[in-house]
Amino acid sequence: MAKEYGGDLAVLLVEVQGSSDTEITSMQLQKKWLGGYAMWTTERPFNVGMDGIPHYALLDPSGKVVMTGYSARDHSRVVDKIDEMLKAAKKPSKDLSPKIAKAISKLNDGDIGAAHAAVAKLLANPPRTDTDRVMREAKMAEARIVQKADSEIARVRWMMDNGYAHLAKERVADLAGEFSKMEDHAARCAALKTDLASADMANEIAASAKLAKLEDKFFEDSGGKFKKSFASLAEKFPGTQAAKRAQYWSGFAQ
Amino acid sequence: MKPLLPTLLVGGLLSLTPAAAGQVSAGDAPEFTFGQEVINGMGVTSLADLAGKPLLVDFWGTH
Repeated sequence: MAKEYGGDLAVLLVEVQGSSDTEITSMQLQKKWLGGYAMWTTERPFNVGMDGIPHYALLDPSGKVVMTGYSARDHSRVVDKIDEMLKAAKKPSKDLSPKIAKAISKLNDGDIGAAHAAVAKLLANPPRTDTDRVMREAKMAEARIVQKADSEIARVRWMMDNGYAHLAKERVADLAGEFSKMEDHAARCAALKTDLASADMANEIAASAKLAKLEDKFFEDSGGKFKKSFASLAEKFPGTQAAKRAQYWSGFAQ
Repeated sequence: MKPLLPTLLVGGLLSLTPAAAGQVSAGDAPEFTFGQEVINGMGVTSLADLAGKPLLVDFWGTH
């Protein structure tokens, strides 16, 4: 499902039987589940009060639980609900005043800059009617925008520190445009860009870009032939985070 | 054509899992910060990071 919906749907798979990372990764490789959009964890973020697995919870874009159930039984209902939510997301929410709903819709599309500009305009020039409600919503929206922007910055730093520097470089270029009117975030973005331009990061970027290509092939066929490729990459880019990950995968190549 | 869930989601009940704290139901907006890396999360550290699009959380097991 993660592949079918691509970036429109977030999928988080939670292993709840206490399996080790090795057991989980081995199964993921065997089933060819890696390399897509799905995320994986062994931490249960909440409990839906159901015994038996697999079961699920579907949350809407605001983070509210919409439905829960057993995955096999509810497959069609889940797909229908996701389709419904994606369709609704194209229209501004009726729970919010129109301009705020539009701003939140932009934020949900990843258009942080446009969302910020819309809300900043409202805060600077409050409407004459329904002022209290709109201002309250505008402040809520502003907080969400800032939280989202903070999260994006943190994720770029995470990518830099965890062997995905080539993705960090791409992302920071996008964010610079988004944050053009957000002074604090623009400054933090510029600092990340400076870090990414260092000689050390140049090595990380080259290593992670090569590793990403190798991983794409490895996730389709985790055969022993990749042991040599991963070892070679680690040797060529010693001390990088990408090399660490290459060594990790080498242990699974059989 | 309807998209397919990964095979791990098909097959009905496989085993029992222990109940845990923090039970939610429809209408609730759970908050959670992950203590460990979310694999393929590209730096996701909390459920809040995933807001903005529908989120399917699937609870499964390897056994």
